[in-house]
Amino acid sequence: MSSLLLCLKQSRSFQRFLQHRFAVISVFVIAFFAILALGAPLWLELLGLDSRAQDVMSRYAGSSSEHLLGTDELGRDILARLISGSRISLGVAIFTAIASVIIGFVIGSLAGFFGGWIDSLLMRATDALLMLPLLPVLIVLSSLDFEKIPFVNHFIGGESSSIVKMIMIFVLFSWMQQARIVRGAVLQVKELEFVQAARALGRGNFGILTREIAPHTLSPLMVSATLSVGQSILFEAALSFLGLGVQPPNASWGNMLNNGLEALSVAPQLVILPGLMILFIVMSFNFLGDGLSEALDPKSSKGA
Amino acid sequence: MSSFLIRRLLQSVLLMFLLSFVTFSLMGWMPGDPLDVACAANPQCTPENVALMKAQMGLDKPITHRYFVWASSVITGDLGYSRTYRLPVGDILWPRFGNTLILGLLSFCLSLIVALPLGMIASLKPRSWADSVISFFSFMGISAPSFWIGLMLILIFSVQLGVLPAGGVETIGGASMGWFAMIGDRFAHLILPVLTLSLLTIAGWLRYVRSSMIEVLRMDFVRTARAKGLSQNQVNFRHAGRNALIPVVTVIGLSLPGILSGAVITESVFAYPGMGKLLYDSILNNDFNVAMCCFLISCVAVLVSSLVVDILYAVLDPRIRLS
Repeated sequence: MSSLLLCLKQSRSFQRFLQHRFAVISVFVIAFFAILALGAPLWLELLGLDSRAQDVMSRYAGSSSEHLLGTDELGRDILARLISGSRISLGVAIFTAIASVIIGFVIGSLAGFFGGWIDSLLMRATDALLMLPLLPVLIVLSSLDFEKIPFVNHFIGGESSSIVKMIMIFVLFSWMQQARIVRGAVLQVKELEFVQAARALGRGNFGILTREIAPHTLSPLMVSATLSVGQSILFEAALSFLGLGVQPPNASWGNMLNNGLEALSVAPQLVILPGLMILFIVMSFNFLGDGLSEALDPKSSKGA
Repeated sequence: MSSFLIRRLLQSVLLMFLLSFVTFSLMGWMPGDPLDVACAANPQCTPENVALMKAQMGLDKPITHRYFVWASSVITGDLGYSRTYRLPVGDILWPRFGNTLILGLLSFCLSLIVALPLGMIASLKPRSWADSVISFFSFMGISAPSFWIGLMLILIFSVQLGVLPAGGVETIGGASMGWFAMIGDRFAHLILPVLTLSLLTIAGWLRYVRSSMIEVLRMDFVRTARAKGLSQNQVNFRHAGRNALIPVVTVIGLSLPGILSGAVITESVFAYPGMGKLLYDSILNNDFNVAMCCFLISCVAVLVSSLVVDILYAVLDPRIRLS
């Protein structure tokens, strides 16, 4: 373990990463939010808060010892909703990023490795999806009643169905960038000597893809996945803000903003706080992505 | 060139057919059937009545049949009838489209005026304080949810300061104010939405302008220009700037439909009667005819601008040949 750390410390990429101050700060911000989100039920229990407990007698209350950040339109504690909202906002985005990397890798490597009609079919589909105006598409899809769709309706049901639905839609429209990156990397390396050497040694297509080519796609994939987490958080917030995303009583930062809209002049903190959360976390992911791309790709012109 | 154009146009038409068919089928999965909703409001309506009505409207036919009926009437210019507004779709759509176009073009121009010079300034001295400040704000701009920026602007300028209207396009009863005051009034209503929509685009473009400019400034011809003894401004803006803008054209052109369709959120925040808000409202109200047309218009906008970008790119950069 210690030798691994030493190795990391000495690597040029890591040194370059450390020079990007904002990226380093972002790592800590992301870690903070990750801990907040992972342990959300625990923190709520420790603080003695409940994100769903309503108290209609004290709506839009200001800050007090009982409600540190005040209450919303149903008298629910804002701090508690912010904490449990982090779980949903981050969870949806990170799950989407992971799924998009997997799908993007499969599609991109199939297209790049086999070429021919498989390549043109897959890439035409990718380009067509990339061309769509994303926001209107997401609005149309998220307003569909998934219970009516055959097959998909097996996965939908219960209180968290709006969250599952959100993830499904995001995954459907998030893998294209990754697929293109992987395809490009595969095309770059597949004719190189080490791949031919692996083939001569008797490794099959699958082995070559996973053992020889996959490592070369790792760093661009990491960068684009990091950036896509930020994008997904923004889209989740936007859809939930429009009332099409995560449905109450589940709290997400986006639907908290939706609820706060009506009380903009009475209780501005209801709108300011969730928005700040989104701003901080998305900015951190963007800075992290920027830092990673500078560290992993020395040729990148950014920063000069 | 012309064969390229013809092929691209054919592809676009094919894509539109495919897209419109997919969307048409998706509408069948929207929650709530308009006829069932209408029937629920009427106690004398029986299931047999509904079945009869569906047969009369052709709703019992397979989806492909219904699609071709709809598509052929759209091609002839009949966009259908809006259920909620009780007007032909075209009558509602085109004024809204105009509103969105005004909003989009104004913020497009504002973004250009701000993003190009700022991006160039940032690139001239990388890692200087000016660059750091500009880069930080551009990161903030791409990370902030646009609706939240809109809400914050409302909070500051409408709720706290009370200087600008929070939404709509004109003050009610504004028609009596006289021509000049009316223009001013409409303009005042546009300021906050245009600002909201522009901040995001400015932030995005800034980064492209900056990195493209940094790349160009390193090239040999820039050094030659400096060696010839040209002034800094001439080198930076005439020689480097013009070359740096070539890749930026792609980004700018491709974000035009994004500005138009991204207005969904800005328009909802400011209750601005544009196409984005119409799409959103019509989906919530099961107004399928309107929703379909709004959605397809944003798709057409994407296709057209990507075609225009390809052509512009070849015009600006003679090294590129369209084939």
